[in-house]
Amino acid sequence: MKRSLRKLSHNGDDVVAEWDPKTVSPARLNEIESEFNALQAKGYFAADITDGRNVLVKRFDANADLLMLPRVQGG
Amino acid sequence: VKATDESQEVRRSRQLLEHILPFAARQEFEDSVTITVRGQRGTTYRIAPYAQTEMIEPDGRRFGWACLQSTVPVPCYDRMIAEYLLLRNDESRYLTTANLFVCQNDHLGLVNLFLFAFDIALAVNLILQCLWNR
Repeated sequence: MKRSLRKLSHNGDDVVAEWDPKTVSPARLNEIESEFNALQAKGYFAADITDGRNVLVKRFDANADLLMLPRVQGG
Repeated sequence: VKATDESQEVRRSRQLLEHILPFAARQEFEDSVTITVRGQRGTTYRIAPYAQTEMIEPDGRRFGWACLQSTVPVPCYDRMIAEYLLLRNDESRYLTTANLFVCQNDHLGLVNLFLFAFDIALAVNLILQCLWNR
C-alpha cells in the first residue's frame, strides 16, 4: 500500500512525497526523510494519520501516512 | 457552507479533515460542521470552521473560547485539523499556545441585575411623583 508525506498549505494540502514501502529504494527513502526533517526544522509538527491513528510523531516512519502541520499561534 | 460554494482548496482541506476523522466525529461534522473533542481534563472543545473554539465544562456550561491560527495561510478546515490533532494529543500545548477568552457571565449577570433594579426604582419614583403632583 502506498504511503504519503503531505503538508498543509494554502492549497489545502500538498503531497510532498508518495512511496510504496515494499518497493521504494533506500536512497529515495532517505530523500523523503530529509524532507520530513527539513519541515520539522521549519517549525512544522508531524502527525501519523494512518488508518485513524492521529497521533503526533517526531520521527519519520516509512510505513505511515504522515501529515505535516505548520506552526500554530494564538489568534 | 454548501460544498458547491467552496473553492478547490477549501474543498480539498474539508476532504482531508473528513478522511482523518473517526466515524462518529465525521458524522458530527457532516451534521453540524463542528468537531467535539473531549480533553483529558474534562473540558469539551467544540471546533468550528468560522468561529473560535468553544470550551465547555463537564456540566455543559460554556466557560470560554480558544483562538488558534496557523502561521501559514491555510483553509479553515486545515486549522480545524491542526486543532483536532493538538487537542487529541497535547491538550497542554494547545492551551498554552491558543489565546483563551474566559466568559465573565457571572459578573455581567450582577451588572444586569443591578441595572434592572435601578430601572425599576426609577419607574417607581416616576409613578410616585406623578401621583404626588395630581
